[in-house]
Amino acid sequence: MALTVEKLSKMIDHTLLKIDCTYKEIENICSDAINYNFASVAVNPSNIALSKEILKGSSVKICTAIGFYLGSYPSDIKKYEITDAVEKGADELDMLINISALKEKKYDVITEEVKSLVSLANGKVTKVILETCYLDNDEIIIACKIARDNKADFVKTSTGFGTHGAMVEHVKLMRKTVGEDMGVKAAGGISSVEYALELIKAGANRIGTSSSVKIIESFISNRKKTDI
Amino acid sequence: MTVSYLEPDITTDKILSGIDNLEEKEIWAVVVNLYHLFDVKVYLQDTKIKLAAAAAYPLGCNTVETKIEQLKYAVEMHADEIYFQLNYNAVKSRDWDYVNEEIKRMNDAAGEEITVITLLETGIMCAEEKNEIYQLISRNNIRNIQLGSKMVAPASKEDIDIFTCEYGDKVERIDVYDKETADRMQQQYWGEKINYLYMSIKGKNDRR
Repeated sequence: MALTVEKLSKMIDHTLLKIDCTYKEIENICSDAINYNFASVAVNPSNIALSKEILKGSSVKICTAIGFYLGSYPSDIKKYEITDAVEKGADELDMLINISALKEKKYDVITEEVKSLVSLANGKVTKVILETCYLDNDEIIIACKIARDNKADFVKTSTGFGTHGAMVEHVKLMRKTVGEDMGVKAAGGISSVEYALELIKAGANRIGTSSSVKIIESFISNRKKTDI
Repeated sequence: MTVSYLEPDITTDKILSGIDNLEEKEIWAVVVNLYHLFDVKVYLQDTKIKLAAAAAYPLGCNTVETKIEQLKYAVEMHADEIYFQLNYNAVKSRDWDYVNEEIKRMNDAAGEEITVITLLETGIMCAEEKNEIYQLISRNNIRNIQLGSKMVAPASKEDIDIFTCEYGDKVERIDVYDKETADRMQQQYWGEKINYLYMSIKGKNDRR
């Protein structure tokens, strides 16, 4: 499959989740997302309403973060946050799992979180964030299987706030575990077109990055058409 | 002294053994994420140590409704205190009405049931923003403050001095996570009003 600019753009969640960003910066990423036709803007829940206003009439979706970025919330709190985000206009929900519960082998907790996410999302796109920097390979496989078996749309590597972001070997492992029918999103530390393409080759079909414009511009200037 | 265990991958066992191994025995409170509240409450029930939760920490960009829901959960779990991160997207956008409303609604929701400790991340605010926030804190009669936090940015010694000198008499407690500064200020004048907050989690600067 030849990767075109259009296809690459539609693989990108243009992300701004910084604690100290301004409304103006949120407006700017929404404008960039319209201009470059990105898949979505990924914003914090308090910025959904503003993003929705700017993106009105465009095909760019609004993606938001649930349970960020420590993940250690009881299921009821995550359920509330999901419902609130959907009501406020989110189209895609990226939920960080309870890493502590996974470490404690309380898989029922993770299963309930994913089930609630899928059910309360009510047809919106759901992504389950593993935060792979804190997990060993066995834990990555278990979390992927729970996400897949409970019908989430994507598994996602990272929040971007952990000790490291997306790694090629983790994306490969996640793709191998979930198979071809589920999405794999790589996020965190992706700042060059070369690395983005490496992750796509490893199995990612969605990229979360704040360097989206730079990545697309590099892709265009290199006139890169990669067979993957 | 307050001790926090907020690592995303920390287990209940590690928190409990951390509490057991504390060298300092005069512990005021233990701060944990909401998920761990129940187990830690049970563990602390026969002690004088208070239980504290972190709401919307560290990003603070949840909706106000979600923050209130987190606070209600902490009350249900019988937490004594809750650390509350302001929405710094609003602060940096100078949306003072939003910030004022958030402070007011959180404190109204808390009532007398739980002590709210408002985090002032002075390390990411300019002078004008700090001045405005201090006035909001004062106008809303906020009594408990934390200055700076490890996962966001430290409060400078100068910021701690300025805040304490100007507002120290108006608040009940100021949490500071830099031990040296906390010790100095306790000895200087402020005594127990300055609470040293030990944060076990690594900060941004610790891992880069």
